Amino acid sequence: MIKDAVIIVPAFNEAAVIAETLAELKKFADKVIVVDDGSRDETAEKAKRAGAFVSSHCTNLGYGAALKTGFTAGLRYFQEPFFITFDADGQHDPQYLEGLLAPLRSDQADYVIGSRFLAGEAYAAPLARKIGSRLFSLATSALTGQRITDPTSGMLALGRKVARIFSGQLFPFDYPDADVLIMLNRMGYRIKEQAVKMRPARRPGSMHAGILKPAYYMAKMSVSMVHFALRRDLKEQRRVMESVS
Amino acid sequence: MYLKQKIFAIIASGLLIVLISVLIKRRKLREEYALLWLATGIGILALVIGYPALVWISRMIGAVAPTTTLFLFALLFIILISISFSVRFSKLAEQMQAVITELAFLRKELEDLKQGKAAGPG
Repeated sequence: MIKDAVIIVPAFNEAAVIAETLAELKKFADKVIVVDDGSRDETAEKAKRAGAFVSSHCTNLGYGAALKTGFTAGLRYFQEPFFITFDADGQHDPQYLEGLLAPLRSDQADYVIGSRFLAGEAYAAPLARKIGSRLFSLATSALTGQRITDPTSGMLALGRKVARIFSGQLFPFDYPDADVLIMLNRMGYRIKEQAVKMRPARRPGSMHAGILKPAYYMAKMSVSMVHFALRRDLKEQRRVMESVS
Repeated sequence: MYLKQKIFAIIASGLLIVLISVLIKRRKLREEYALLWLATGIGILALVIGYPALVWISRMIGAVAPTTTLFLFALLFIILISISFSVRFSKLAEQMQAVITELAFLRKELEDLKQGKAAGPG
Protein backbone atom coordinates (compact mmCIF):
# COMPACT_ATOMS: atom_id res chain seq x y z
CA MET A 1 0.00 0.00 0.00
CA ILE A 2 1.40 3.39 -1.03
CA LYS A 3 1.62 5.74 1.95
CA ASP A 4 3.78 8.55 0.62
CA ALA A 5 1.76 9.66 -2.40
CA VAL A 6 -1.63 11.15 -3.14
CA ILE A 7 -3.36 10.01 -6.31
CA ILE A 8 -5.11 12.77 -8.26
CA VAL A 9 -7.99 11.66 -10.49
CA PRO A 10 -9.58 14.32 -12.72
CA ALA A 11 -13.07 13.24 -13.72
CA PHE A 12 -15.76 14.62 -16.01
CA ASN A 13 -18.99 12.65 -16.38
CA GLU A 14 -17.37 9.39 -15.27
CA ALA A 15 -20.22 8.09 -13.07
CA ALA A 16 -20.36 4.83 -15.05
CA VAL A 17 -16.78 3.88 -14.24
CA ILE A 18 -15.47 5.97 -11.32
CA ALA A 19 -16.53 3.54 -8.56
CA GLU A 20 -14.77 0.62 -10.25
CA THR A 21 -11.62 2.68 -10.91
CA LEU A 22 -11.47 3.93 -7.32
CA ALA A 23 -12.17 0.48 -5.84
CA GLU A 24 -9.18 -0.88 -7.76
CA LEU A 25 -7.04 2.15 -6.92
CA LYS A 26 -7.81 1.88 -3.19
CA LYS A 27 -6.10 -1.52 -3.12
CA PHE A 28 -2.82 0.23 -3.97
CA ALA A 29 -3.10 3.73 -2.49
CA ASP A 30 -4.86 5.15 0.50
CA LYS A 31 -5.10 8.85 -0.37
CA VAL A 32 -7.08 9.72 -3.49
CA ILE A 33 -8.29 13.13 -4.64
CA VAL A 34 -11.04 13.17 -7.25
CA VAL A 35 -11.56 16.49 -9.01
CA ASP A 36 -15.05 16.48 -10.43
CA ASP A 37 -14.77 18.95 -13.30
CA GLY A 38 -18.39 20.11 -13.40
CA SER A 39 -19.91 16.70 -14.16
CA ARG A 40 -23.61 16.53 -14.93
CA ASP A 41 -23.90 12.98 -13.58
CA GLU A 42 -23.21 11.30 -10.22
CA THR A 43 -19.41 11.30 -10.53
CA ALA A 44 -18.87 13.30 -7.32
CA GLU A 45 -21.36 11.33 -5.22
CA LYS A 46 -19.92 7.99 -6.32
CA ALA A 47 -16.38 9.18 -5.67
CA LYS A 48 -17.37 10.33 -2.16
CA ARG A 49 -19.00 6.98 -1.45
CA ALA A 50 -15.77 5.30 -2.58
CA GLY A 51 -13.91 7.22 0.13
CA ALA A 52 -12.07 9.77 -2.03
CA PHE A 53 -11.40 13.40 -1.16
CA VAL A 54 -13.68 15.12 -3.68
CA SER A 55 -13.39 18.70 -4.97
CA SER A 56 -16.16 19.71 -7.34
CA HIS A 57 -15.89 22.50 -9.91
CA CYS A 58 -19.22 24.28 -10.33
CA THR A 59 -18.63 24.31 -14.09
CA ASN A 60 -16.51 22.39 -16.59
CA LEU A 61 -13.08 24.01 -16.94
CA GLY A 62 -11.01 21.37 -18.72
CA TYR A 63 -8.52 18.61 -17.97
CA GLY A 64 -5.62 20.91 -17.08
CA ALA A 65 -7.73 23.05 -14.76
CA ALA A 66 -8.98 19.91 -12.99
CA LEU A 67 -5.39 18.76 -12.49
CA LYS A 68 -4.47 22.20 -11.21
CA THR A 69 -7.25 22.02 -8.61
CA GLY A 70 -6.03 18.53 -7.71
CA PHE A 71 -2.47 19.76 -7.11
CA THR A 72 -3.71 22.76 -5.13
CA ALA A 73 -5.88 20.47 -2.96
CA GLY A 74 -2.96 18.08 -2.53
CA LEU A 75 -0.64 20.85 -1.37
CA ARG A 76 -3.24 22.41 0.90
CA TYR A 77 -4.87 19.40 2.56
CA PHE A 78 -2.26 16.61 2.38
CA GLN A 79 1.28 16.24 3.71
CA GLU A 80 2.46 13.40 1.44
CA PRO A 81 5.63 14.25 -0.53
CA PHE A 82 4.48 12.87 -3.91
CA PHE A 83 1.52 13.05 -6.27
CA ILE A 84 0.44 10.78 -9.11
CA THR A 85 -2.10 11.72 -11.77
CA PHE A 86 -4.40 8.91 -12.79
CA ASP A 87 -7.23 8.74 -15.34
CA ALA A 88 -10.75 7.96 -14.15
CA ASP A 89 -11.69 5.88 -17.18
CA GLY A 90 -9.71 2.79 -16.18
CA GLN A 91 -6.96 3.11 -18.83
CA HIS A 92 -4.28 3.39 -16.17
CA ASP A 93 -3.20 0.28 -14.30
CA PRO A 94 -2.45 0.90 -10.60
CA GLN A 95 0.14 -1.90 -10.62
CA TYR A 96 2.55 0.63 -12.14
CA LEU A 97 2.18 3.25 -9.40
CA GLU A 98 5.12 1.92 -7.36
CA GLY A 99 7.32 1.92 -10.46
CA LEU A 100 6.44 5.55 -11.14
CA LEU A 101 7.32 6.57 -7.60
CA ALA A 102 10.69 4.77 -7.50
CA PRO A 103 12.76 7.49 -9.30
CA LEU A 104 11.20 10.16 -7.04
CA ARG A 105 11.92 8.22 -3.85
CA SER A 106 15.53 7.61 -4.87
CA ASP A 107 15.88 11.27 -5.92
CA GLN A 108 16.77 10.36 -9.49
CA ALA A 109 14.01 12.51 -10.96
CA ASP A 110 11.60 15.34 -10.14
CA TYR A 111 8.98 14.32 -12.68
CA VAL A 112 8.19 10.82 -13.91
CA ILE A 113 6.18 9.98 -17.02
CA GLY A 114 4.44 6.63 -17.35
CA SER A 115 5.38 5.82 -20.94
CA ARG A 116 3.33 3.50 -23.11
CA PHE A 117 6.11 3.27 -25.66
CA LEU A 118 9.25 2.78 -23.59
CA ALA A 119 8.95 -1.00 -23.52
CA GLY A 120 8.49 -0.92 -27.28
CA GLU A 121 4.99 -2.33 -27.12
CA ALA A 122 2.34 -1.34 -29.63
CA TYR A 123 -0.36 0.95 -28.25
CA ALA A 124 -3.81 0.59 -29.75
CA ALA A 125 -4.74 4.07 -30.99
CA PRO A 126 -6.06 5.57 -34.24
CA LEU A 127 -3.36 6.23 -36.85
CA ALA A 128 -3.79 10.02 -36.73
CA ARG A 129 -3.23 10.04 -32.98
CA LYS A 130 -0.21 7.77 -33.31
CA ILE A 131 1.31 10.14 -35.88
CA GLY A 132 0.53 13.17 -33.70
CA SER A 133 1.99 11.48 -30.65
CA ARG A 134 5.15 10.54 -32.57
CA LEU A 135 5.58 14.10 -33.87
CA PHE A 136 5.24 15.55 -30.37
CA SER A 137 7.65 12.93 -29.08
CA LEU A 138 10.27 13.96 -31.65
CA ALA A 139 9.72 17.69 -31.04
CA THR A 140 9.84 17.31 -27.25
CA SER A 141 12.96 15.17 -27.41
CA ALA A 142 14.65 17.77 -29.64
CA LEU A 143 13.64 20.68 -27.41
CA THR A 144 14.52 19.02 -24.09
CA GLY A 145 17.67 17.30 -25.28
CA GLN A 146 16.57 13.95 -23.89
CA ARG A 147 14.58 11.07 -25.32
CA ILE A 148 10.89 11.43 -24.46
CA THR A 149 8.83 8.59 -25.90
CA ASP A 150 5.40 9.49 -24.52
CA PRO A 151 4.91 13.23 -23.93
CA THR A 152 1.11 12.94 -23.96
CA SER A 153 0.83 10.37 -21.17
CA GLY A 154 -1.59 11.26 -18.37
CA MET A 155 0.04 8.93 -15.86
CA LEU A 156 2.61 11.09 -14.09
CA ALA A 157 4.39 11.24 -10.77
CA LEU A 158 5.86 14.36 -9.20
CA GLY A 159 6.96 15.89 -5.94
CA ARG A 160 5.59 18.87 -4.05
CA LYS A 161 7.97 21.37 -5.68
CA VAL A 162 6.74 20.55 -9.18
CA ALA A 163 3.14 20.40 -7.91
CA ARG A 164 3.57 23.97 -6.65
CA ILE A 165 4.65 25.04 -10.16
CA PHE A 166 1.59 23.21 -11.57
CA SER A 167 -0.76 24.94 -9.17
CA GLY A 168 0.46 28.33 -10.45
CA GLN A 169 -0.22 30.47 -13.49
CA LEU A 170 2.11 28.69 -15.91
CA PHE A 171 0.10 25.47 -15.97
CA PRO A 172 -2.29 25.24 -18.96
CA PHE A 173 -6.07 24.91 -18.45
CA ASP A 174 -6.79 22.47 -21.25
CA TYR A 175 -4.15 19.93 -22.28
CA PRO A 176 -0.96 19.98 -20.26
CA ASP A 177 1.36 17.62 -22.14
CA ALA A 178 4.54 18.20 -24.12
CA ASP A 179 4.56 21.94 -23.36
CA VAL A 180 4.77 21.24 -19.64
CA LEU A 181 7.73 18.93 -20.21
CA ILE A 182 9.58 21.69 -22.03
CA MET A 183 8.69 24.12 -19.24
CA LEU A 184 10.04 21.75 -16.55
CA ASN A 185 13.16 21.05 -18.62
CA ARG A 186 13.84 24.77 -19.00
CA MET A 187 13.33 25.19 -15.25
CA GLY A 188 16.02 22.60 -14.63
CA TYR A 189 13.83 19.81 -13.23
CA ARG A 190 14.88 16.23 -13.97
CA ILE A 191 12.43 14.25 -16.12
CA LYS A 192 12.41 10.47 -16.36
CA GLU A 193 10.21 7.93 -18.10
CA GLN A 194 9.10 4.61 -16.66
CA ALA A 195 7.48 1.90 -18.76
CA VAL A 196 3.77 1.31 -18.13
CA LYS A 197 1.07 -0.60 -19.94
CA MET A 198 -2.30 0.98 -20.59
CA ARG A 199 -5.59 -0.81 -20.90
CA PRO A 200 -8.61 0.01 -23.02
CA ALA A 201 -10.86 2.57 -21.33
CA ARG A 202 -13.84 1.21 -19.38
CA ARG A 203 -16.12 3.50 -21.36
CA PRO A 204 -16.11 4.68 -25.00
CA GLY A 205 -15.12 8.20 -26.01
CA SER A 206 -12.02 10.34 -25.67
CA MET A 207 -11.31 14.01 -25.00
CA HIS A 208 -9.46 14.02 -28.34
CA ALA A 209 -12.39 12.63 -30.36
CA GLY A 210 -13.64 14.32 -33.56
CA ILE A 211 -11.73 16.55 -35.95
CA LEU A 212 -11.83 20.04 -34.46
CA LYS A 213 -10.57 19.10 -31.00
CA PRO A 214 -7.47 17.25 -32.23
CA ALA A 215 -6.77 20.09 -34.69
CA TYR A 216 -7.09 22.65 -31.89
CA TYR A 217 -4.93 20.45 -29.64
CA MET A 218 -2.15 20.19 -32.24
CA ALA A 219 -2.17 23.93 -32.98
CA LYS A 220 -2.39 25.03 -29.36
CA MET A 221 0.25 22.55 -28.21
CA SER A 222 2.66 23.66 -30.94
CA VAL A 223 2.28 27.33 -29.96
CA SER A 224 2.62 26.48 -26.29
CA MET A 225 5.76 24.37 -26.89
CA VAL A 226 7.44 27.17 -28.85
CA HIS A 227 6.41 29.67 -26.17
CA PHE A 228 8.04 27.67 -23.38
CA ALA A 229 11.08 26.85 -25.51
CA LEU A 230 11.71 30.56 -26.15
CA ARG A 231 11.11 31.79 -22.61
CA ARG A 232 14.25 32.76 -20.76
CA ASP A 233 12.75 33.46 -17.33
CA LEU A 234 11.70 29.92 -16.35
CA LYS A 235 14.64 29.27 -14.01
CA GLU A 236 13.79 32.54 -12.27
CA GLN A 237 10.13 31.49 -12.07
CA ARG A 238 11.24 28.25 -10.42
CA ARG A 239 13.40 30.14 -7.93
CA VAL A 240 10.49 32.43 -7.03
CA MET A 241 8.00 29.55 -6.66
CA GLU A 242 10.39 27.53 -4.53
CA SER A 243 11.27 30.51 -2.35
CA VAL A 244 7.63 31.10 -1.36
CA SER A 245 7.04 27.43 -0.48
CA MET B 1 -11.80 63.35 -50.38
CA TYR B 2 -15.32 64.38 -51.30
CA LEU B 3 -17.33 66.60 -48.97
CA LYS B 4 -19.96 63.85 -48.59
CA GLN B 5 -17.29 61.37 -47.48
CA LYS B 6 -15.96 63.90 -44.97
CA ILE B 7 -19.42 64.59 -43.55
CA PHE B 8 -20.15 60.86 -43.26
CA ALA B 9 -16.81 60.15 -41.51
CA ILE B 10 -17.32 63.07 -39.10
CA ILE B 11 -20.89 61.96 -38.25
CA ALA B 12 -19.87 58.28 -37.83
CA SER B 13 -16.90 59.01 -35.57
CA GLY B 14 -18.90 61.66 -33.66
CA LEU B 15 -21.70 59.12 -33.04
CA LEU B 16 -19.14 56.54 -31.87
CA ILE B 17 -17.67 59.02 -29.34
CA VAL B 18 -21.15 60.00 -28.09
CA LEU B 19 -22.25 56.35 -27.80
CA ILE B 20 -19.14 55.36 -25.82
CA SER B 21 -19.50 58.44 -23.56
CA VAL B 22 -23.16 57.61 -22.84
CA LEU B 23 -22.29 53.98 -22.06
CA ILE B 24 -19.58 55.11 -19.63
CA LYS B 25 -21.94 57.61 -18.01
CA ARG B 26 -24.62 54.96 -17.51
CA ARG B 27 -21.97 52.61 -16.05
CA LYS B 28 -22.65 50.05 -18.79
CA LEU B 29 -19.05 50.29 -19.96
CA ARG B 30 -16.01 50.60 -17.74
CA GLU B 31 -13.51 53.35 -18.61
CA GLU B 32 -10.61 50.92 -19.02
CA TYR B 33 -12.51 49.06 -21.75
CA ALA B 34 -13.62 52.27 -23.45
CA LEU B 35 -10.21 53.83 -24.04
CA LEU B 36 -9.46 52.13 -27.34
CA TRP B 37 -12.97 52.80 -28.67
CA LEU B 38 -12.67 56.49 -27.81
CA ALA B 39 -9.21 56.56 -29.40
CA THR B 40 -10.71 55.04 -32.58
CA GLY B 41 -13.44 57.71 -32.78
CA ILE B 42 -11.15 60.59 -31.92
CA GLY B 43 -8.44 59.30 -34.30
CA ILE B 44 -10.80 59.13 -37.27
CA LEU B 45 -12.30 62.53 -36.42
CA ALA B 46 -8.83 64.09 -36.16
CA LEU B 47 -7.75 62.63 -39.49
CA VAL B 48 -10.85 63.90 -41.29
CA ILE B 49 -10.72 67.38 -39.76
CA GLY B 50 -6.96 67.64 -40.23
CA TYR B 51 -7.23 66.66 -43.88
CA PRO B 52 -3.68 67.76 -44.90
CA ALA B 53 -2.30 65.35 -42.26
CA LEU B 54 -4.40 62.55 -43.75
CA VAL B 55 -3.04 63.33 -47.22
CA TRP B 56 0.52 63.40 -45.87
CA ILE B 57 0.10 60.04 -44.08
CA SER B 58 -1.44 58.55 -47.24
CA ARG B 59 1.60 59.63 -49.23
CA MET B 60 3.94 58.25 -46.55
CA ILE B 61 2.36 54.80 -46.48
CA GLY B 62 1.80 54.66 -50.24
CA ALA B 63 -2.00 54.65 -50.12
CA VAL B 64 -3.77 55.59 -53.35
CA ALA B 65 -6.50 57.68 -51.73
CA PRO B 66 -6.92 59.32 -48.27
CA THR B 67 -10.11 57.30 -47.74
CA THR B 68 -8.00 54.11 -47.96
CA THR B 69 -5.82 55.46 -45.12
CA LEU B 70 -8.93 56.18 -43.09
CA PHE B 71 -10.21 52.60 -43.52
CA LEU B 72 -6.77 51.21 -42.83
CA PHE B 73 -6.55 53.10 -39.54
CA ALA B 74 -10.08 52.04 -38.58
CA LEU B 75 -9.13 48.42 -39.30
CA LEU B 76 -5.92 48.73 -37.26
CA PHE B 77 -7.86 50.11 -34.31
CA ILE B 78 -10.35 47.24 -34.52
CA ILE B 79 -7.48 44.73 -34.56
CA LEU B 80 -6.00 46.45 -31.50
CA ILE B 81 -9.36 46.34 -29.75
CA SER B 82 -9.70 42.60 -30.53
CA ILE B 83 -6.23 41.90 -29.16
CA SER B 84 -6.99 43.86 -26.01
CA PHE B 85 -10.18 41.79 -25.55
CA SER B 86 -8.19 38.57 -25.98
CA VAL B 87 -5.75 39.73 -23.32
CA ARG B 88 -8.60 40.58 -20.96
CA PHE B 89 -10.35 37.24 -21.65
CA SER B 90 -7.13 35.40 -20.85
CA LYS B 91 -6.87 37.26 -17.57
CA LEU B 92 -10.53 36.60 -16.80
CA ALA B 93 -10.11 32.88 -17.56
CA GLU B 94 -7.19 32.82 -15.11
CA GLN B 95 -9.23 34.57 -12.44
CA MET B 96 -12.30 32.39 -13.07
CA GLN B 97 -10.22 29.25 -12.70
CA ALA B 98 -8.84 30.48 -9.37
CA VAL B 99 -12.32 31.40 -8.10
CA ILE B 100 -13.81 28.04 -9.13
CA THR B 101 -10.96 26.16 -7.44
CA GLU B 102 -11.46 28.14 -4.22
CA LEU B 103 -15.22 27.60 -4.45
CA ALA B 104 -14.65 23.84 -4.80
CA PHE B 105 -12.55 23.86 -1.62
CA LEU B 106 -15.07 26.00 0.27
CA ARG B 107 -17.88 23.62 -0.70
CA LYS B 108 -15.82 20.67 0.48
CA GLU B 109 -14.94 22.38 3.78
CA LEU B 110 -18.57 23.40 4.34
CA GLU B 111 -19.75 19.86 3.67
CA ASP B 112 -17.17 18.49 6.10
CA LEU B 113 -18.18 21.04 8.73
CA LYS B 114 -21.86 20.11 8.35
CA GLN B 115 -20.91 16.46 8.82
CA GLY B 116 -18.95 17.43 11.93
CA LYS B 117 -15.50 16.48 10.71
CA ALA B 118 -12.43 18.61 10.14
CA ALA B 119 -11.79 19.56 6.52
CA GLY B 120 -9.03 17.48 5.08
CA PRO B 121 -8.18 14.04 3.80
CA GLY B 122 -10.79 11.34 3.78
